Amino acid sequence: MKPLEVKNVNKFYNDFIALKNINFFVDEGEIFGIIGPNGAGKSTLIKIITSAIKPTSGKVFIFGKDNVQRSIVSKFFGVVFQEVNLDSKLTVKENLFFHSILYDFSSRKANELINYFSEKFNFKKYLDFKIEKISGGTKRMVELARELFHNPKILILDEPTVGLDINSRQNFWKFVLELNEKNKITIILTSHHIDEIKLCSRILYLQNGEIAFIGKSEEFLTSYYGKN
Amino acid sequence: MEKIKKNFIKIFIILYIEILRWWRNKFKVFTTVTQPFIWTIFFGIGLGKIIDVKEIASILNYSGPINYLLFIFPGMIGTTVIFVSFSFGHSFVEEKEKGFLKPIILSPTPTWIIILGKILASGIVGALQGLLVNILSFIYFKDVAVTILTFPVLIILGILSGAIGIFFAIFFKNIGSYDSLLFFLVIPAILLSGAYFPIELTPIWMIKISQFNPFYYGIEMVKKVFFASLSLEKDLSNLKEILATKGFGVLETIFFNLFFIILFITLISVIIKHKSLE
Ligand SMILES: Nc1ncnc2c1ncn2[C@@H]1O[C@H](COP(=O)(O)OP(=O)(O)OP(=O)(O)O)[C@@H](O)[C@H]1O
Ligand SMILES: [Mg+2]
Repeated sequence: MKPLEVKNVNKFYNDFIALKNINFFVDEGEIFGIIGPNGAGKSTLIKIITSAIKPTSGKVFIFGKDNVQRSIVSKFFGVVFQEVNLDSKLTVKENLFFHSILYDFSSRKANELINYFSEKFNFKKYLDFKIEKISGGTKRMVELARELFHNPKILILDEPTVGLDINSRQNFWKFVLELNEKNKITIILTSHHIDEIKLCSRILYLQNGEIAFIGKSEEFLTSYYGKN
Repeated sequence: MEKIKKNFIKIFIILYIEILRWWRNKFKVFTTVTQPFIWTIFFGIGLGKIIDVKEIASILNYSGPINYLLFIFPGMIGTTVIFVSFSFGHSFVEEKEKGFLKPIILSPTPTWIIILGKILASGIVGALQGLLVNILSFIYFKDVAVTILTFPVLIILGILSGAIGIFFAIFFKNIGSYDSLLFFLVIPAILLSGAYFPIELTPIWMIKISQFNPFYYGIEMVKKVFFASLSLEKDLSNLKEILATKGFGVLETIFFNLFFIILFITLISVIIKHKSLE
């Protein structure tokens, strides 16, 4: 059973075609890159996959199950969206605690998870800081941690390192790659960075809402990238 | 059973977070308390000269000493609650716009739990803000019963206003257009609610319109309970008489408020079944 299958997905905003006839699958343990210029439809595709918005037509399957079932989406997916969506008036700890309760953890388990991940991702000293007081890099680590609490099988990252300096980016990727290798988590990401594209096993290249290329990333980099 | 318990805990945590957010924003808490006093000064000076307070007292069946300030006081508290609770709709649109809702919606939490939690929070936060105004009123009235007894109906009015705010918030994607509702919906509805001048003194057609105005019943409820508790202190035997005032009594106004709350929550739950919150 494939972690993700997208079948005949179309998305129209009135007359505007945001996505046209999208078909692809992702294999278990892959790092799958969705790339393309600004406005190509990457975030729209991510939102459809995570059932945040409905496609105009077509279907998305997660381990063979239709993603209209919200419980499937919450169980298998961890999602870091393009915009930071932590509550800036609350502390790191409060944000994470709130999230854990919504994911059905007991308050004891929540505190355990917060402790474990804040130590692992080096933000323990910021736990009592309000989000507005911490750096962009730390915010991303907090979001990544938050999305791992429920032990998802598939991690979706929409331009996760945008606006981060080289250090924070390397730090972020160190953990993501470790999750992929050790925990066999499937990664789906969108990116504009060439060094992140190189990390992907396969690439889907979107242009004006259509698939312009799909295949191995080496193939993409040698034969497609730069020529089109 | 397990599921029901979990949903209760989730509503509780949403409530807790919303109250925390409100309390963290002390500047807003303070400015919102002063706002109704500014309204009161303007209305108090302007309308106080025109409106016959004796007539008002007889309409309300209130036998104690009365002046215009006393008359608009409960309306002013009610207005504060309406503004604060309705602003939960504003926050809701903002959360949609900034993408804050996405991780919440992805969590295994039914959408109606999120909405219900927010509506309850709007009620409690609005009532707390109203309570702050009311506590200040204590300096003037020196009456504890008023402060305590009006609190529960302030929560009801807050829940009503929050439900209406969130109902509209579902349809808006952009904060600017949502906020324009304040000017051509909320403020007219407050002026037609009897908060600042009695509806009974207006032309028939205005009275007819206010019968469909949920805030009319909300303000009416706060006024009734306010004056009932004010009279209570002075004469306990007054209670029966007060409960059976001209027009609606306390219980009827509470009933109408609950009716509108259920109406709006039902509308919301039907809509979110067919419309994604994005
Ligand atoms: N709600 C909407 N209504 C109308 N058009 C929309 C809506 N959301 C997205 N679009 C349009 O769909 C197209 C794809 O947008 P999307 O955000 O998916 O692009 P993207 O590939 O993620 O771009 P970026 O690299 O800038 O993040 C854009 O032209 C955008 O204007
Ligand atoms: Mg995007």
